[in-house]
This record gives sequence, structure tokens and C-alpha cells, in this order.
Amino acid sequence: MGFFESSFFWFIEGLFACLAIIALRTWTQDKGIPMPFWKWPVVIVWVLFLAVSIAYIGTSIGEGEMDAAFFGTIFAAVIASISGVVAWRLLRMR
Amino acid sequence: MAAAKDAIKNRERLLASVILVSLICGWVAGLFKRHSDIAGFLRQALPGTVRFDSSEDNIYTGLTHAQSENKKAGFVAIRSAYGYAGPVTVAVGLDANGKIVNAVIVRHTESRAFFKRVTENGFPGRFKGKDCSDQFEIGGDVDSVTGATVSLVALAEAVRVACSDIAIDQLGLLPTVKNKPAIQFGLPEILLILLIVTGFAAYGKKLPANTYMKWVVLAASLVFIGFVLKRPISLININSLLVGYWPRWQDNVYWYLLLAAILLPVILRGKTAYCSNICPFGATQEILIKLGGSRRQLPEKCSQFFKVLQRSLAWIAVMCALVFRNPAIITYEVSATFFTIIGQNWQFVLLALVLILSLFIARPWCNYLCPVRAVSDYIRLLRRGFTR
Repeated sequence: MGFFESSFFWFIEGLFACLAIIALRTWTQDKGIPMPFWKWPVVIVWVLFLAVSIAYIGTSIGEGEMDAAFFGTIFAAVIASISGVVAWRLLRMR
Repeated sequence: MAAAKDAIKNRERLLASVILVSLICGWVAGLFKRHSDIAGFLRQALPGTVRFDSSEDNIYTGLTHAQSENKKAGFVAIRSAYGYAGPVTVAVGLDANGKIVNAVIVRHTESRAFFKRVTENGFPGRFKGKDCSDQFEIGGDVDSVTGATVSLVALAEAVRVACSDIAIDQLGLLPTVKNKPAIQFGLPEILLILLIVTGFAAYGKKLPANTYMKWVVLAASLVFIGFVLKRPISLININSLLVGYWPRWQDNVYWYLLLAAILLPVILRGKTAYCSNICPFGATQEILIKLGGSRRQLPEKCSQFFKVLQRSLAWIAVMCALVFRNPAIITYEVSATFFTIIGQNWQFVLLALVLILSLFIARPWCNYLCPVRAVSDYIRLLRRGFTR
């Protein structure tokens, strides 16, 4: 079993996810940005979209489907950028 | 101060004249363009033919024996119909029973990416075996091709006319007459007129009512001209006009209305509402500006560099279209790629960049790359240079 299929990988993944959430919370507190409950799903959905996009592109490259990887990158880049900017503006709202 | 202004005006006049002369030279050079020999196309349209006898109206009789006049293999007609960027010419071979033996593209000037869709779907080979009495109706007896309807309609029309002409002139048959309205004027044309009228009415002073109306028109244009009709204005339309590929106005009211909406106001008044209030790709950028919350311009030097690039690219595209008599020979517009999801890989990359930049910079495509904007700028320059 390779590293990426092992439970240890998912343990590390979970650790980093927790660290990222704590970092976001601390950063918003430092900046004085309020974080009501509805902002969390916005951030989580965006991060999940980014993760799924990267997984899709990586899998496509791994399977030798270069056209799928190319168009996946283009669509993901555009959608992630637009939704990222919108999410960022929502996050900054006081 | 006045001397400096005069110097700029003189420089503009000189530039406008040089560009005008270069375009005239390009147009004249295009007159000498040779078309490829048709003999090969005739043999492909009617395989197994030894010799072709030509009659009037570009109809050729294919003979299976070099010496005998009686061994007729069939007939080939070469006919054209207007597509998106100019005529699509086909050679159609018919046997003595009026059935299509083969159809071959002789030449076309359609955008490569779009016409590839037609050929990838098996056309014009799929016309093989059809009868000269068929209707050649897209969506009826001819399967449609998503994203390349205009090109396929032109191809089918050229094949239909070829079959019809052979049937009447050589076979003595009466093909089914296609029921076509005298003037093609329907919902797309009515919608376009409404958008143009409202867009121009909202152009001018920045009143709240005008801003509201502008947004309504932009949204409607994005939906109808962009996503439903997929026919925003393109440099190809302007090139077709310059090259002389003017389709029949009765069948192409939409085409003429669209061109008139952008060219006439620029020629007559030096400005047009199309770019700011009607263009569907402009609407896309406006929405992204709203989402991004930024309406920044590039720094002056950078902006000037892109303006020069925008105009130079447009000039090269127009010159090549004139010299090679092919309006779509150079296309780099991303609006068609956006609305049809058809294009070359680099066009998708450019489209992605433009969409992402639109979040941070005001209308990057319109201001720094759009060739239609460059053409209207040039008309404005000519106007300024020669009216004062």
C-alpha cells in the first residue's frame, strides 16, 4: 500500500485541515473580521471545490487524458477565481 | 500647446492615410488570388469518371469512356452558399437517377474550429445517397451539428442548389421546391432590433434610468445574442463586408442589422452604443467587474502598449483577410469561444485569462484586445482626420 492510500496520509490530511481552520479563525480575529455561521460553509465549499478540481486534474493527467486535464484546468481556474473573489468579498464583510 | 495639438492631428492624419493605403493595396492584391484547380474535385465527386464535358452554369457531364459521348457516369455541379464568413463551395456528383454519388468541399472561408465540427460529423459525405428531390432541411432530413449550424446550413443549401440545377437542366426532373420565406425575418431579428433600439436609447447621460435600462439590455443581450443565438459581432463579419462577401440581405437581415448597429453610428457620429450597452461579451465582463468590485485601468504605459498591440493585431487580421480573400483566416476573438465552447486550445487559455482579469480590470478584452473596437477606433480616427 502506498503512502497516499494509507490511513497515515488521511491523518496528516485531517491535521492540516484542522490547522487551516484554526489559522483562518485566528487570522479573522486578528483582522477584526466577524465570522458568523454562514461564512464557514462559504469558505469550506470553496476549498472543497478547489480540492476536487485539483484531484480531477491530477487524476486526468495520471490516466493520460490530457484533453480532460487541459479543459479541467481552464474551467476550474475560471470558476475557482470567480467564486474565490466572491467568497473573499463575502468573508471581508463586517 | 496648440502646436503640439496640431502635430498630434497631423500624425493621426498620416497614420490614418497609411493604414487606408495599406488596406487598399491589400484589397487589390487579393484580386490576384488564384483558386485551386477544380479537376480533382470533379473526379472526387464522381469517382470512376474518365473525362468531364462542361456545359453552361458550371455543370459537368462525367463520361466513363474517353472517346464515347454515350457512356455518361453522371453529372457534377459546383455551387456556393453563404455561411458565417463567406461562401461555402461544393462539388456535387449525381448519377443518372438523381441520387448523390458524392459531395466534396471545393473551398470555404469558415472559421477552422467551427467547420471542423461539420467535417468531424461526417459532412459532406453524409449527403451521399440522398435524392435530388429531398428538402436538405437541417433538423429535418439532415442531422444538425451543435455549434456550427450556420456553416452546415450553407453547406446543405449549396448541395441542394447543385442537385436542383442538375435535376432541372440535365435530368429533366422537377425537384421539390423548398418553401422559404421571401425575407428571413423572425424572432432573432425582432429581438436584435429591440436590443439595439433600447441600447442606443440608454446611451448617453448617466441617469439612473439609463443605467437601469443599460443593465436590462446587457442581460438580455447576454442571454439572447450570446447564449441562445450565439451570434455576437465579430471581426469576421467586418472582414466579410470588406472582402465583398455580402450575403443576400433577404436571408441575412440579422447579419446586416448587427453590422449596421456598430458601423453606421461610428461613421455618422463617431461613437456607438453597441460596445458599452449591447455587446454580450461586454456584458459578461461588466458582470465580472461587479463581482470583483474593481474597475481599475492598467497603468498608462502598459495601457498604451496593449492599445498598439490591439490595433496592430486587428490590422494584420484585416490585411490577411483582404489579401487571401478569407475573412476568417486570422481569428483570435474569444467571444465565440465563450458562447459556443468551440475554439482552439490557446483561445480557451486566452478566454480564461480575460475572464479572470475582468474581476480586477475594467473590460480587459474590450479595452485592450477586441479587434472590433480597434476597427471602430480606426473609423473614428479617419473621421477626425478627414472631417476637420
